[in-house]
Amino acid sequence: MWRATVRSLLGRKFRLILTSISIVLGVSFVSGAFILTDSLSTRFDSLFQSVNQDIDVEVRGVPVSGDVPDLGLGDGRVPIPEAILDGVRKVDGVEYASPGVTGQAVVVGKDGKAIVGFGPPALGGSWDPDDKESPLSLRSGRAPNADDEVVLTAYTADEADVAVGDEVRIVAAGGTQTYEVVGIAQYRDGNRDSLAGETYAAFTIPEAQRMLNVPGGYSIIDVHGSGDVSNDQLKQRIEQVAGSQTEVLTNDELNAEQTSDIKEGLGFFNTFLLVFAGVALFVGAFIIANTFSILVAQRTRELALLRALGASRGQVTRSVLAEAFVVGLISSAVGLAGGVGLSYGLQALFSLLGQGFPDGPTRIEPRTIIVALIVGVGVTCAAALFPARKAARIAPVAAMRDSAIPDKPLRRQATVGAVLAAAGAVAMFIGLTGGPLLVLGLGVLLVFLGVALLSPVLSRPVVAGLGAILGRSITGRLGTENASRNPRRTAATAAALMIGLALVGAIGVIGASAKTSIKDLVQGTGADFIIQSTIQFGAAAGVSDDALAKIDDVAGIDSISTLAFDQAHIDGDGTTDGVQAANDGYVSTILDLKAVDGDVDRVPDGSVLISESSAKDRGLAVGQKIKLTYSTGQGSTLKVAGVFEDNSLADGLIVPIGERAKFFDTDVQIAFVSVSDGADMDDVHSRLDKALADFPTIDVQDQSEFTKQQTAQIDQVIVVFQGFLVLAIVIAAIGIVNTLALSVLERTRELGMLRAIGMTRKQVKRMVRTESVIIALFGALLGVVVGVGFGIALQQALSDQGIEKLALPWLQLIIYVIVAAIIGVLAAVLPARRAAKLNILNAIKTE
Amino acid sequence: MTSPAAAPTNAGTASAGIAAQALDVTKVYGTGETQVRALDGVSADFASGQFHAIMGPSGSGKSTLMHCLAGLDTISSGEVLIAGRPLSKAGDKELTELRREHVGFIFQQFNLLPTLTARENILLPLSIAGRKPDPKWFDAVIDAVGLRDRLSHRPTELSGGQQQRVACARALVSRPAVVFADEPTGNLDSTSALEVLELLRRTVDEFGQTIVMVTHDAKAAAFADRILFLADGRIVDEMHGRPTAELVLDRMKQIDARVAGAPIPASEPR
Ligand SMILES: Nc1ncnc2c1ncn2[C@@H]1O[C@H](COP(=O)(O)OP(=O)(O)O)[C@@H](O)[C@H]1O
Ligand SMILES: [Mg+2]
Repeated sequence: MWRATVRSLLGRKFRLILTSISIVLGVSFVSGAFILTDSLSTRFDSLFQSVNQDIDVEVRGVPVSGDVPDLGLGDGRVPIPEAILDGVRKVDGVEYASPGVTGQAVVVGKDGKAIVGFGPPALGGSWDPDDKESPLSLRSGRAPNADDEVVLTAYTADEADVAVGDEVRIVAAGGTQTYEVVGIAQYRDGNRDSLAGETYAAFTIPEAQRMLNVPGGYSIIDVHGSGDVSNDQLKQRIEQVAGSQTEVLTNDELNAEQTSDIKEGLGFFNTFLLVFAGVALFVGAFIIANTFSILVAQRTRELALLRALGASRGQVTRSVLAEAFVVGLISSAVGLAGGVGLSYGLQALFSLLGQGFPDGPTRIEPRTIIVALIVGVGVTCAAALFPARKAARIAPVAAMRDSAIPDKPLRRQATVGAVLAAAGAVAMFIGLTGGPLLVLGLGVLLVFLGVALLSPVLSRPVVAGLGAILGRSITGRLGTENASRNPRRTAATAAALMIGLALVGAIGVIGASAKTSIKDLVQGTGADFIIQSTIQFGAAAGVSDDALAKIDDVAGIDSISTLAFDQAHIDGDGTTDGVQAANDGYVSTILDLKAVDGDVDRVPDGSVLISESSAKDRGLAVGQKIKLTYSTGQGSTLKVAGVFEDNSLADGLIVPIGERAKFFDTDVQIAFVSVSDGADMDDVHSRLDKALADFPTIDVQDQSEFTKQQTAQIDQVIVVFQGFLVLAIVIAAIGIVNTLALSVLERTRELGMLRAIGMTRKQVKRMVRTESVIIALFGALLGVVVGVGFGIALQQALSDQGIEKLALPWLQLIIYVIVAAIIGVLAAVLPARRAAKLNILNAIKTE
Repeated sequence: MTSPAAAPTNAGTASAGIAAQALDVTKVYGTGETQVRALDGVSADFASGQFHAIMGPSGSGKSTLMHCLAGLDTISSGEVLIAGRPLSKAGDKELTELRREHVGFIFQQFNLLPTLTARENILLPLSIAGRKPDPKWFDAVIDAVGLRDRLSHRPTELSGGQQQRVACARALVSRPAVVFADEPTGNLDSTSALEVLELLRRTVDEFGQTIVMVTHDAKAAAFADRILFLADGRIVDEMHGRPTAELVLDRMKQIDARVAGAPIPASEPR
């Protein structure tokens, strides 16, 4: 049996190569994801090890409270009093200890724009000339020794387009300040310009304390031991003097913590890539199943002969599976190599996008190889299982007769499909209404399978309909007939495209709905201008009081509605609720709340408004007093003045704007400005811009600019998804090529006859092309329908999370269908050429 | 080489037109050791309005000659003319057009498209050419093949004989200068074969159709006006005037004997 398998493999090289491409791509993504994340995490490991190599023990303040997220900016921790530094220095075993101040500091480029990366942080720190553990060294210039001097890392200076001697503006907790660049720094480790695309500005210690809001203290103390004691012992000794408001970490603990943050980020990235690998493999499985059922059909006589010669059913099944096993094994091996390539490609892509990764070795863990092989071989064999079982049903007499294997009737398959699709829809419903994400994924999978099984029944009418549009000429007519000759094959081929387009379509629907919802939301606020920071997190992410005062002075402004955010525990319970501090203008004009009870048009001092859902959860009612504890640990006791219906802008607590003084981020996060009647919008806009000229991180946008910015972000996400789903579409195109090649092969004699009686090569090509386009369009239409269905379901599920309005991206969907048609045309190129080049005489003679 | 057979029955038609012509045609397959001269200097005229049969033992070059005449295969030297047009220099486009406009085909395997009805199969050459059928001619052809009540059937719903008659109608529908048929009865039982042969005969008699049929069956050849005998790629004999099957068979036997005997004098007696 083995020899027959090998012979059969070699005899079908071309088809198997085409088929294996889908597995190769899928495995490439799986292994690429692992290789990339493994390599990067080892590189970050060694990077941090070398950066921290002189730090034996580090002391830092405890978090301000457990509710403050550590954004890696160095803030959110209690400052270390100066006295503790002296104590640490006296500890036996400490050779030297250097203090440091860290926090967020955004550098403003020469062009007046703040340097904002979408990933790496903007960091600020202190430059201590005596610090022997610092990972940084001067590349040029000197250390800062005055409050208006700063050292920038080489990367930062490049991005800001400044050099030693230039002036540079920096925004931090302490405001916006202009400095003279006195030095350019680099990392001691490998003379890097930056570690991973972060910006870094270093001030004198007093200036850092002021700018980074660490008054009279330090963020960290780096300790270098004398070498007499272990780091653990040193840590214990230092803990004795460091007080209760600090944490002490050894070098190992520090490295582990820093890399674990990175690894968490890489883990998300890994999952993201694996999801796409899953899509690619799922789509690929259809192509494989299709190819193997074609192979089995072509080999009916041969397999029947084997049966007649005494091979058991099991042996026939195994011979087909053995073929799949070999194909899967080879594809996985190639895919593994592809994964290495992909990991390099993605690194190149990210460095193009400005997110550089440290250089270093590429790691292929044994786990990667094992997973790649299991996934590649497993998917191939699983996909070949049905065709293999079908092969076993071939009766030995088929060797003598020209009888095909009896297909199960389409109706039975359609029933199974309908049941699966319905079960999938139910699973999706459960997943979307708070069930686990896995159930949602399973539901999507089942719906795809169900629709794929249903689609042969659908193919006849749809293909006939498409044919009526496309196939008026004889070539169109014949192409259409060919597409509907084998509904199962057409459906399986189209299924791959269906899945790809359904996913892209669903994302398109969600994106369009989100954009429309945002637009409506912005319009609903009635605000003329929206003012906020271009920085997403940290001290620079707010609109400072200084900036608010400037805005207030601008002529032609009617009102300013302001808002700040935090988290709060109610009456000391374990859970937290979102809390907004808002002024009356915000509550009355922007929020436009609907009262369930009490007065919700304003939020007077000493009162709190609460959403219906929170009130219900906690059994609160108007008139009750509650104690709120914010994430800083500070709090207030407030009286519930009103209960409002939850909406997309407010679903927690609303407190008076003055409460923000007790918040972690004390700044207003967003300000909505209404212009007075009769004032010229453009004039006010330019006056606002001028007033805020000293606040480079703060941006004034009118409604359309704000909407455009928000929707642009959504578009970016859509583009990323589309980019990855192109993979599924490429695999689908391969499937079409495969099916067409077979269609041409099977109809060799017909093609010979058609050519003999006068069909031109051009007409032959057109005929094959029509078949291809019809298959592609069938898949695309199914995909769009399923995708829109998914999209609507998702939108409904997310309607209380801001995506209130359903919008269908018609133009986008039409473009997808047109793209599918183009894919059909492209997929037909080679098979059509082959059909047109057939030798007529040989073609007529073939059996 | 030509035998003293009777002169063509309708000499008038013969002089009126030659539908197809082979001029000293040779066809060589392969090179060197494996070279085969499938046609070795064949010259023949195929007069319009006549039923020509090409006979000969298997491997004698019958199919090759037909393919070369029909513009399906290129020739190594010589010239082929269809409706007065030389084929040796024509490219694929010209040959395709020529086949579409001037040649009809009937294959041994019927070669109908299973997805089309009988009517659609018959009209296929016109559809490919983008031409509308002449309703009168279409009616005449349908009546001649006797398939009026089967027009909406698909090939799988027709018997072998019926399928071949559909194929005949398909060959006739574009009024070609010449219809080529390669063993058209090779896949049929004797009753169906007879029907098809009678049909072909009728199209010659009633429509003045020119037919060139390749066959190795003497009974089939007996329907022809003129029979060319081929052996080893050469025309070795010719019969005219509708001889009986027995006479054709006798002539075949003579030729077989001559061909079989031929090599013996060439080699030294042992
Ligand atoms: N494509 C080909 N390549 C090589 N030799 C061929 C080819 N076609 C036919 N022949 C050879 O040419 C000769 C004539 O073949 P053919 O015309 O098919 O004979 P017939 O139809 O009389 O049986 C045979 O010897 C055959 O082997
Ligand atoms: Mg032959």
